[in-house]
Amino acid sequence: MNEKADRAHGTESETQARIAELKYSLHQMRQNPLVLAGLILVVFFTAVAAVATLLVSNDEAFMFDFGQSYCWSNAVFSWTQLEATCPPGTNFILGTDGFGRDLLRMIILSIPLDLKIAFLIVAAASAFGVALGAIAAWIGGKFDEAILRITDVFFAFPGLVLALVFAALFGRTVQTLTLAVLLVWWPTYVRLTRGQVLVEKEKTYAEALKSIGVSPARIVLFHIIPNAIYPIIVQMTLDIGGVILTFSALIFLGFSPSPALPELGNLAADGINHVFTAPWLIVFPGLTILLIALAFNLMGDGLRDILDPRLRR
Amino acid sequence: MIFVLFGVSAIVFYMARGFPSAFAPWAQYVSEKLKPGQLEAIIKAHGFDQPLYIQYWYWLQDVFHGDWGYSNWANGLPTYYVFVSRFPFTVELTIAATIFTVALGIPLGILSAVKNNTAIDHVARIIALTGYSVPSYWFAYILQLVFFYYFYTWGLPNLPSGGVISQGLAGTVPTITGLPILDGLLAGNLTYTVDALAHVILPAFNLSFISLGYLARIVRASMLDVLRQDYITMARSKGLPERIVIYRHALRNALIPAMTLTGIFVAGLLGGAIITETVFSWPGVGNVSLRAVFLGDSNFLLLYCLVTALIIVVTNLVVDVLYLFIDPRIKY
Amino acid sequence: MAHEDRGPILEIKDLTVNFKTYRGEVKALDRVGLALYRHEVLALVGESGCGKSVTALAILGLLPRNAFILFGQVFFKGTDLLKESIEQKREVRAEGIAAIFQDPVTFLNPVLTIGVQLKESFLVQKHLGYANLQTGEENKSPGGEIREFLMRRDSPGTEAQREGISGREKEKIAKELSSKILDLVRLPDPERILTQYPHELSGGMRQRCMIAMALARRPSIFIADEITTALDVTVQAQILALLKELRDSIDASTLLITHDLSVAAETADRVAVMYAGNVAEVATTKQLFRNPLHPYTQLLMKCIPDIRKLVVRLESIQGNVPDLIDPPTGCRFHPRCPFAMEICRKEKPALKSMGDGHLVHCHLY
Repeated sequence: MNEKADRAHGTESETQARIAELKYSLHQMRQNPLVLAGLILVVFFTAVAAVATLLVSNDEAFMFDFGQSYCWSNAVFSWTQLEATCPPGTNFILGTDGFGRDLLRMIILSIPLDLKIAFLIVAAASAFGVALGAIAAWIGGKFDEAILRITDVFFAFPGLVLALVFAALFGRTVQTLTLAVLLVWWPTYVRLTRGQVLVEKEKTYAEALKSIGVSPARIVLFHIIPNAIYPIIVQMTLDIGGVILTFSALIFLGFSPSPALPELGNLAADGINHVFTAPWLIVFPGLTILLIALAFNLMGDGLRDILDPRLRR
Repeated sequence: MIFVLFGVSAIVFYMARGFPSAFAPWAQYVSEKLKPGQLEAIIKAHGFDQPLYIQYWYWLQDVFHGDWGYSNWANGLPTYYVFVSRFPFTVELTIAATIFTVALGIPLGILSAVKNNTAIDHVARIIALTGYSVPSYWFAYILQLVFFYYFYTWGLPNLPSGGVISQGLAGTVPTITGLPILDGLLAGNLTYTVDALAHVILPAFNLSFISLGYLARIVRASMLDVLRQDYITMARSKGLPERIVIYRHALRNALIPAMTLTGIFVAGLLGGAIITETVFSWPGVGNVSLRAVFLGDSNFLLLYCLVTALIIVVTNLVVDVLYLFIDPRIKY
Repeated sequence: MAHEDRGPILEIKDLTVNFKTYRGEVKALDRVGLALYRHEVLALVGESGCGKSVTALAILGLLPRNAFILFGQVFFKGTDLLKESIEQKREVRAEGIAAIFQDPVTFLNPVLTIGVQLKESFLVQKHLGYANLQTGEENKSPGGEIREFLMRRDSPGTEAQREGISGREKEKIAKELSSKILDLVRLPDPERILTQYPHELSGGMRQRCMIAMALARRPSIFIADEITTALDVTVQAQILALLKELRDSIDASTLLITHDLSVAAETADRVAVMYAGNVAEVATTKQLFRNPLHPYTQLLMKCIPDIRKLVVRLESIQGNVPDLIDPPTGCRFHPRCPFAMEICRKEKPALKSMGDGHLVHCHLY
């Protein structure tokens, strides 16, 4: 009975310490303008994603009016003399794409798709990678070595090659593309978690917990991972930007599931052959990707500074 | 290291041949003039009907005898020829991109660290972060749009939109190293060299813009760490001008981690920057590999993946060894 | 020139420094006042966290970014250092006040050789050449040249050389002087040491190198911040002896910062005791140890076990070091003081001179 009380007391002070740490982190965040800027952008894009289907109906993406393709009707800004002007009476702030759809509305529609996929990939990669890394680090020995070698193999693939080959083979659906990007992304989390857990494993509190008889699963789940979580969170934030870039790049390179799919890379791909006559097709979707990735990178980078143990206090 | 190579080749092999898709490995032996029974004969002869691990074994044997197979789209040329003839262009691009990255990224990181938490720092960090938030294909097209198209329409001297050398100058200089800039210098042909330089600027800058963000970040982080050390306080207490404190005392310590990053970056680039090479029609290895993926050229892909994996592994080793020389504290 | 000798070469008045931290403002120094005279060793003694190092950093102009000097003056040869520009402060560090720190492992740059780090101490000075070295006279004793060099800070002989020395000449001179100065600090095989890195030397050797780097700049004041703390006792004794020797041959004063009373007793002419950002007592070494006036000093003395007596239990001062974010009102020592009175809680004690240069900040007097 006393043990239970002791254990409860122990976790209570641990939680208190963690809350104090969190407060300090939040204070730091408030002082860092870059993180705030990133946060605002992230909130903005998430909000747009949430209401996108209210602003633009999904059907618009698949019902075209070819008569207005590749035209620009924004009176405020003009690109060159070569662009086509849209039929009078229409107002396309960012011009139209090859299918005659309003580019601005298409971009709005594609934000939720890209964000959803990015979150999914990062969540899956991190869940799987963290689990595998933690287990490998805890068990050690041959298993750990084997996992390490396997991640080495994945790291030896340059850039997108693995994802490209996978995508080329397994068809061009959104699901296979998601899997392709996942393939490239998961090893980072294994390495990262493994490194962190190895360090934490040697610390006195882990030994103490082991000697009391707490099961390894509990130690890893409730004590080690919460202490090691900060770099992983940073990596996840940064990766959301990276995943969007990779995913849209895959689609751009030619693995598009369907030409009319409202996805940022897809929209940009439409403009490859019209770079000089209809530049807005590449400029604006790409700019959106840039802003989304920048938002997450600002946040992640700022978080990394804040959570760096050497810079605290 | 051997395991890595085996692993890479096994994965690619399995994916290339083990799945029903357009990657029919016998496609390169097929022509219109084939009679009905000949296809089966060919399949049998090359062992394409055997279980996968036996096929892998055959392939390994072929490789050790120097037979990397034929590329089924480049007019049946041997794959190693395709690779080797393109590789120098990738090397030229890599060198140019590395120069840009280092020349721009390191000062950016130093600036950020020295002026920490000021407006300059924030601007520098945003530039660095934009670097690795930018979609490389998009940036490539923007560069082309501005420096090729708009400069032209505005009457400014413009940079070429792609290729390694202008049409009219191709072949006017003997190919010694395969790198156009070097060949031009060696032949003493200034027009050729300048033209080659003009062609490499945009793609190199495109590549470097992305990695200078990473480099600036690392340099900044390690500079900040170093500037907090006691020996910097000591150096300042000696009355040394701040310039010397930063460049002689701090930088030498801070650049050590940046070295690994540059090494990894170079290794990745040598594998061919697929997107950049495609957009700028740069006839390098990455460009070719994209086409190989689309055309199902498993032979070429295998060679390509293995060579790049080898480059990456070797570069990591080289960087580790370099550490021993740069950091006097490390003794083997 | 002689009449200036009786005034202090360094005088700190009312120095008050705060640090801004997440948890609040740390009132690190509270109206600190000190005087350092020519050719003496003043020991600044106190426990960790009492503000000794902060004082040193404030004098040098090397306080971290989150530190704020609220008011106060630091007079060095008549000029208030705190009002100088950054460039002027740097010049003072280069040729006026030299600091020696503890634990040279972290204070010496690990990727530069000792030679480089020593040479730059020579090269940072404006006037390097002097007549004797140029003409290479040989009738000096082996250590003579270097001592001459160290003696002459702005001697007329150097005037003539001032403009004519090229960079390369300077480098050569600096190199020669480097190995000679290592000799002076009693390091064997100086040529070899110049090519080595800090981690290749022992702690005592590193400390001597640091002393050499400070010596090379021919300062008027040495600030030695806990220089013996990271060394074992035998090496400690050697370093202190070296310091004494050097002090005698060069006309410089030393501010010796330490938490170890015995080090102060052995090397210092005068001692200043600090507690929680205040100066408690200043006296000559003899006065302090024979007749400590401030309760804190008295308790400190009691804590030192007498080697001649049998001690069953070590004495300690009751209570804890105060939190400087919210320091005690009035005299900062009053919560732990056995003689605390009502007034101690309300007012900070003013400086009282008890004659013969014995100063104390306490309401008892």
